Amino acid sequence: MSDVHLNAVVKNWGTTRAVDRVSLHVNSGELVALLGPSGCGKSTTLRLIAGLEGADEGEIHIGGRDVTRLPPAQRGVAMVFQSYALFPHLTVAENIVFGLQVRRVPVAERKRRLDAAAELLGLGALLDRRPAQLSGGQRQRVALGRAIVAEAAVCLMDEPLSNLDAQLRQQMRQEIRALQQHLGMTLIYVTHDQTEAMTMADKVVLMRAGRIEQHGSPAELYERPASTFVAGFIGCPAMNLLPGSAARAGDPADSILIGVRPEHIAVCEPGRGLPAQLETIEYLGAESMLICRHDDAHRITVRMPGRVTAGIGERVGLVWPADAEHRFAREHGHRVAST
Amino acid sequence: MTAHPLGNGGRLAAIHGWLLLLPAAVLLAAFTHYPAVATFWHSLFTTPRGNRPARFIGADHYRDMLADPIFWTALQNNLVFAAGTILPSIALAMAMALWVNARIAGRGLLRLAYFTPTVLPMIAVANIWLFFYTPDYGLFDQVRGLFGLPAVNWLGSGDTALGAVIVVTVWKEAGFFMIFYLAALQQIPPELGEAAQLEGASRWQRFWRVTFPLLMPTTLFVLINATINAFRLVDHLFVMTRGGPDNATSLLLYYIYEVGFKFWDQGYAAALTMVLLSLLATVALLKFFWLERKVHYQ
Ligand SMILES: Nc1ncnc2c1ncn2[C@@H]1O[C@H](COP(=O)(O)OP(=O)(O)OP(=O)(O)O)[C@@H](O)[C@H]1O
Ligand SMILES: [Mg+2]
Repeated sequence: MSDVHLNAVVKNWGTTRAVDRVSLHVNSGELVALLGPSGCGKSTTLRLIAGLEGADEGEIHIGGRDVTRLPPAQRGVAMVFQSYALFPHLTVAENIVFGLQVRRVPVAERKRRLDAAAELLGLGALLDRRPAQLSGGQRQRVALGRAIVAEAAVCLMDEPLSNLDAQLRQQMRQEIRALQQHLGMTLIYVTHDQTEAMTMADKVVLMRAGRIEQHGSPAELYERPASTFVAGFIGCPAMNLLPGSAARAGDPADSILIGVRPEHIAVCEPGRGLPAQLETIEYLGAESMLICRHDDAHRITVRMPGRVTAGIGERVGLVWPADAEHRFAREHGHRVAST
Repeated sequence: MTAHPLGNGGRLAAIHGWLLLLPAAVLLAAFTHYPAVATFWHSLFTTPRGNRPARFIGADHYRDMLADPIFWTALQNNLVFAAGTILPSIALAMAMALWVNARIAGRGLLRLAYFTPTVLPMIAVANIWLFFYTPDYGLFDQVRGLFGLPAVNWLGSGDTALGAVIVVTVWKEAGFFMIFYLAALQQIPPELGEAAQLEGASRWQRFWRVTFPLLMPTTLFVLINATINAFRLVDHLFVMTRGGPDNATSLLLYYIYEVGFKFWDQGYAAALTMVLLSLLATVALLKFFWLERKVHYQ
């Protein structure tokens, strides 16, 4: 068993609280993405799990063992750094078996694991090179190789793909996911890219200012955002948020915000639904984004398949099914039960 | 293809290159190569005195040298001095840099403290240590006195004088070399240490497998400087021992000074200088051809 459990973990940097009573359970063999805007404490949380930082409060358990006070080496975790942290003076092979050498794993076993990792990652031809002689994607693979030969049950990755170009990133996304499932690793993966989180992860943990805003499957976060922050962060373009009074006359006034995803809104003739004016159309090929404005104040995005031929400045009506509506309390932004 | 800015001939470009090198070449030739050759030339002649002009004597000076016990003492002292200063000052510099580089309280102050010897001129350093070494009243003897130990004439006794001079040199040089190590250490990304730590490397293994190899270029640079300094640094001898007692602290360069400017035997001094020069040249060649290959540059 190699589940990871955080219980009310706190980390302060001087007066700022980077991680604020975070409690989190990651099941064995799961890929969990830590997602959130810059500075929300994702890296700090990961480093706390790795033991590179000490927790000020709370406990961390890995595989049922309390590791809160253990040094990194004894926690049974491997880590891939954003900068890869390859040793520049060692060859690819030496980099990969560094940990095995240090831990005095017998030579034959070392070789077996190196060969297996090189095979898995397609590094066979590069084993004698130094990191400086590799491309970004190849370095990334070496860093992965170093993490998997340790055969640690838990692997931590801090924005491992952020230094790669878009195409390679997509490819590596699939590779990392396949690797994780093949090896049955528990993987905690930090990213600020929601596409990465949504496509790879079993569970997504969305953080904000050191706290967990929502923890659930990608579908849960998308379909039932727990707050206006989640609603705005997950999904591109973001969910439309309107004061209750504007969205529907006679609603319990301004204490409620109504959220509707762009793809759930339909455009109809003016006079029905919510009156709005079409401002611009962003044509993306397979779909078009219609940017409308209601009441000269609220911007509403509508996503429509294909190409839309409508006149800019035209008056339209916007309609959506009642069950596509999300309701949030205006005061604190939390989701409230639909009536 | 665009035309070369200097026209179409490779020859013009070559001339241009040589012209660019000329100023440096002239300076080197005038102030380094010519004096070296001239020194060698002078070493083949007697020293002119009064109405006796210089006379060609071939290798006589070199033959005299073999029979000169003070030369052998100075050479032997110099080798001991080199052995006693080079590695200890490098090791001390590295240790201090690692210590200062770690995240410890009062880091800035500590850095300044270690840096102080560097900004002091060697003569001033020698004066400070002269006080430390003073029999009875000096710092060392005061401390020894606390434990009831007898006074020692550190600089006046042939057994301890060279060691005392070595200690001063190490103290002075380590602070200087530490600056280079500190700069190099700051260039090493902290993730490398963290990655090694996660892989299970102990502090000791992290140093020998990661930090030390990455410091190799700095070590080579410092090593060359330390070696050259071991044959070049004699300022403190003028203040502390004047080569005494009984030549116990006479180093090669100090002996050359004595022969050339106290005994005014410039021909012999030139011959001694040639020995010193060839020693340094051998060291430099060894370093560049042998060590260079073992160093990883990023
Ligand atoms: N070593 C440190 N010393 C002081 N403050 C720190 C340190 N490391 C992080 N912080 C602060 O803690 C907070 C969280 O930082 P963290 O690096 O965890 O953010 P992040 O979510 O990983 O952001 P990013 O996406 O930009 O990497 C930030 O406010 C940051 O300034
Ligand atoms: Mg980060």
